[in-house]
Amino acid sequence: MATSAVSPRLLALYISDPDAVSTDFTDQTLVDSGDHLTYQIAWANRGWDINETPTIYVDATPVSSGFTINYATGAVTFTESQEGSTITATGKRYATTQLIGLTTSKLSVSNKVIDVSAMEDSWEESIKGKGDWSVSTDMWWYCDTDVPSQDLLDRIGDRELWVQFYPYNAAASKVRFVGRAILETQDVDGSQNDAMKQMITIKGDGPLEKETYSA
Amino acid sequence: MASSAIKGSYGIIQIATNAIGELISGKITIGNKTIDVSNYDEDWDEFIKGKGNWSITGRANFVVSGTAQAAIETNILDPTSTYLAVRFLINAAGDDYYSGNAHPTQWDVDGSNTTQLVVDFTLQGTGAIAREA
Repeated sequence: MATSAVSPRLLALYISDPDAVSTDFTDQTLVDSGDHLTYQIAWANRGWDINETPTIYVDATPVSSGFTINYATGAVTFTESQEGSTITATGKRYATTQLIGLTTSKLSVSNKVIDVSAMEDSWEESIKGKGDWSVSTDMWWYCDTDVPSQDLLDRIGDRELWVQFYPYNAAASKVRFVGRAILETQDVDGSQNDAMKQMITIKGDGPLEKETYSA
Repeated sequence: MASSAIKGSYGIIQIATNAIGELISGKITIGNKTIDVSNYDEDWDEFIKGKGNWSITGRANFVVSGTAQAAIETNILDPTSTYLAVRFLINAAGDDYYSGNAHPTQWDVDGSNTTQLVVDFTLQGTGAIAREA
């Protein structure tokens, strides 16, 4: 059987630029997920700027309540069915930059467990606790006047950013994990017989979402 | 005498009854805690059995669409979800296996310049593990 293993060429890591001007999107249709409650914007316009409240329209009329927004995935979930209605949105999405020069990259997702074992149990029993996630990456360090992504890493500081980790970033088909995060560590390392490297850790702040795309 | 050893690749990990595709390695660890009851009357440490525990760890090629990998992924991305039914097979026919319920506690997707993307995962058992044969 042919393998479905994924080449490292298809791994990609994008982060948002907190200093860049967010990109406008206007009157974009949100597609019904099928339940008439959750509607999502097209792939290219996801990753909404959390500092810019979008305007949501139901049949061209702006609405301000009765829904929640998932800024990472560009989805709106209504409390009541919107069957038969056209849902659109106007707002801003983050500009993202691909980090280049990666030599390794790892997405780690964890769930804690809470021990609920009782004396009468022969086996330990547990329930789920909180989840957490992070991205750790080794990469070449570049002079930031030459490479925009290096300049971005050096400017971020402790500001929040969007992360898009693509284990599969082909032209016609994509898988990515998205969420809000902070740049927790950035170590720059030099030695006599090697190129300058850096190791970064991006720590998730809140949920991580999976998205897929097919052309 | 012919060996009764079995191939390591028979050690398939299943989520419900779906095998994790392109598994590279897998391990089930079953433990029993012990309770120290040593006392002045004895010259040697003595123990009684405490609670049992178990976990499964594995590594697989990351695949874009695989039912079992997706089940672990979906579960760990939702901290409010409940446990998964898991099996660790120990024969070719798949009718001899360990089974129980487990929470995914770790899911790492890892790539480098010179290797394919791999996923490393840990499933922490909750409740009993049983051998079904």
